[in-house]
Amino acid sequence: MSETHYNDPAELAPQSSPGELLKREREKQGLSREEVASALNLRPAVVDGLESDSYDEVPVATYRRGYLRAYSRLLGIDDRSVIEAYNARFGNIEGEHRVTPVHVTKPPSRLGAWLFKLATLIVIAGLVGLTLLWWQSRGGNDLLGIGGNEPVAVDTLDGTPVTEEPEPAGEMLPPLPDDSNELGLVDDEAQIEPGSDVAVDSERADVAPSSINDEEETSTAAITGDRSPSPSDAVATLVPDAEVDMAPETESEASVAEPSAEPAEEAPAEAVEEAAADPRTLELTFNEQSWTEIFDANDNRIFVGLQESGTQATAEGQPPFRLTIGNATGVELRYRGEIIDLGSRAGSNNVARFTLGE
Amino acid sequence: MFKRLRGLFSSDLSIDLGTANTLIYVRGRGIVLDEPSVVAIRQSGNMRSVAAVGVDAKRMLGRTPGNITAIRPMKDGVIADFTVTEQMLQHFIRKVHQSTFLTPSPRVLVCVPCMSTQVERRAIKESAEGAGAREVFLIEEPMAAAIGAGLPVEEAQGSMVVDIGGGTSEIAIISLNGVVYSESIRVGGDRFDEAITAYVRRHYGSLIGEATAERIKEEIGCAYPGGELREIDVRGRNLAEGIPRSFTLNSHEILDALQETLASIVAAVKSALEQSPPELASDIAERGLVLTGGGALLRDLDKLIAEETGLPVIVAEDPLTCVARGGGKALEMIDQHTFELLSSD
Repeated sequence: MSETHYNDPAELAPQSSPGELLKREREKQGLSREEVASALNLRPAVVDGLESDSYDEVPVATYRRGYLRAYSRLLGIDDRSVIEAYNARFGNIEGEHRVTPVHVTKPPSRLGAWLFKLATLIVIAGLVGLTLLWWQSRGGNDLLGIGGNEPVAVDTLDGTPVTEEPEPAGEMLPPLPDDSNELGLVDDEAQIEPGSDVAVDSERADVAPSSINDEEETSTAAITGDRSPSPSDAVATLVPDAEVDMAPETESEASVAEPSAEPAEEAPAEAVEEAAADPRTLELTFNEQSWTEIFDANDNRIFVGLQESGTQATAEGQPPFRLTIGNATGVELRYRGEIIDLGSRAGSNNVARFTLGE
Repeated sequence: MFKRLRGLFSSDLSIDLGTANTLIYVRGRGIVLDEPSVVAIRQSGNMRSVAAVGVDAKRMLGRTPGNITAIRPMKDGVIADFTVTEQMLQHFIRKVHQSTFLTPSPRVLVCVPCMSTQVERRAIKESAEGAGAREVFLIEEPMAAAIGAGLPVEEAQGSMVVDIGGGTSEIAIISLNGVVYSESIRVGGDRFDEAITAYVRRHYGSLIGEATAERIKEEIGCAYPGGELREIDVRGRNLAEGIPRSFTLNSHEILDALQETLASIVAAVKSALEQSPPELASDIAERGLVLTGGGALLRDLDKLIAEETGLPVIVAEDPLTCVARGGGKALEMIDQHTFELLSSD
């Protein structure tokens, strides 16, 4: 396809413009401008322009070069020499006509894309942060709840009567801790025996409310349904007895009757009663499955685990105890012979967190 | 600065996946690969393996023993054999990467015929993805050809491009970065070869192969009478005698052979002109239409179309690579603009 007709080497001189080359060749062949124009389907003005190297008629470089090549091929001369002459004169820069989209659709520029990515990241980070905050605030609420529960627990433990029966509490409360401490001390000295005494105490306690708390029952309606006041009262009333009773017993029995001198039939009852009354012992009855964790005063985990329904468990440790009881409504907690109302201490998720025995 | 950094790490390719030739343009480096779209498959038992791709495979075309088949996985501008196309692309992309240190998963822009169906486009896209492309863009061939030829596609002026490829001829009128009218006919270089083969068979009673037909077309083929007479000696198998015979063909005969095929192209061009809006038609009448693709190299094709349409016709510079170069230019613009030249699917 390369028909190279170097008609005259002189024509290829670098100084000759493409228009001159073409014009000279056309005149040599005896063609008129109009003939060339009709052969190329171009207007004679365009052919004129091509020959005089003024390309006002043809603004697009591609077409200019195309016409030049078509013209030179029509004349039978090598189109490359003409294009070279054109390039030498006008440069090839126009050939590198850049195509730029006309619709400035405001494309998401590079920066825009980055901004978009950044904004997305920030939004995501913000969302994550908010979620964390919310979660933490919820956790914080829980903590607060626990914090709030704790004093309540303290109050309720020692002060179930306190809160619920204001008048007697004022009088009864102060001696209570002392008494319990004393009780504890006594118990420490004689662990086996106090059961019996306590049993007696509790018997008395059972009796006591009816006799002693008559006025209270009538005065404060809240107490009637609640057994809680009675033990405290009972304890309160028992305190002197305990002191009186135990002192001699510990002395006498600790020395003599310790190696199970007591009748065998008494032992289980004793144990139960002992557990019931012992402030170091927590008795748990699981009516439903529950996860329970108990820490004692020394922060030792004395009891932990998922308990199946229908099981019982006892935990011993140094009071006060910190308890976490899941599925609180399905668990019965007995401490010092009292049933602790877990339902009222359970949070919305039915987990009771509180402190017992302070 | 940013652009240079991006350019440093980018290994974007523009692939002109043609029926006859596959060209790969690497951004910033130009055309790096131009090979025939031919794959030679070796069959050993149930195992199929690629024996050769590109030039080597093309040499085998029509000369293979029983266990090797040299096939052209593209037909009429679209994929005819999906897996083979994928393997071919893989081979070409790897070849491009071996010579340079580009990342193994480039962004790829592939040219598709404008009348190809969604299924065909998806097939091309997926085969490019299967060949390791990270991202595949599709561009319609005439658009790429117009950009590659340097036409002012972004202007509010009609530009007409006729891209005559191996399998298809694409005719499009472009204005404002969009295709106003496009027509794709499944007539191209291959049809020229077939026409020549049929002519030789009819008039000489001899069979010639694809490669010979192509050689005849390239050496003496012409589209318009009046040029100097050329001749070529070819050898083909005589059908009556069953033995190879040598005979001489001249350009007039080939012109005769190609007449029908050329007429269909001319008809398509005329129909495009008929369909174009008057303003654009006047632009085209003023500036003319541009021929690209390998078919544009057929001697005096521009003259034929100029004669038939009465419009100025110019042949683009380096028409074979127009589409790949245009794809490359489009690729460069992808980063800068939401690129409306790209095909939607």
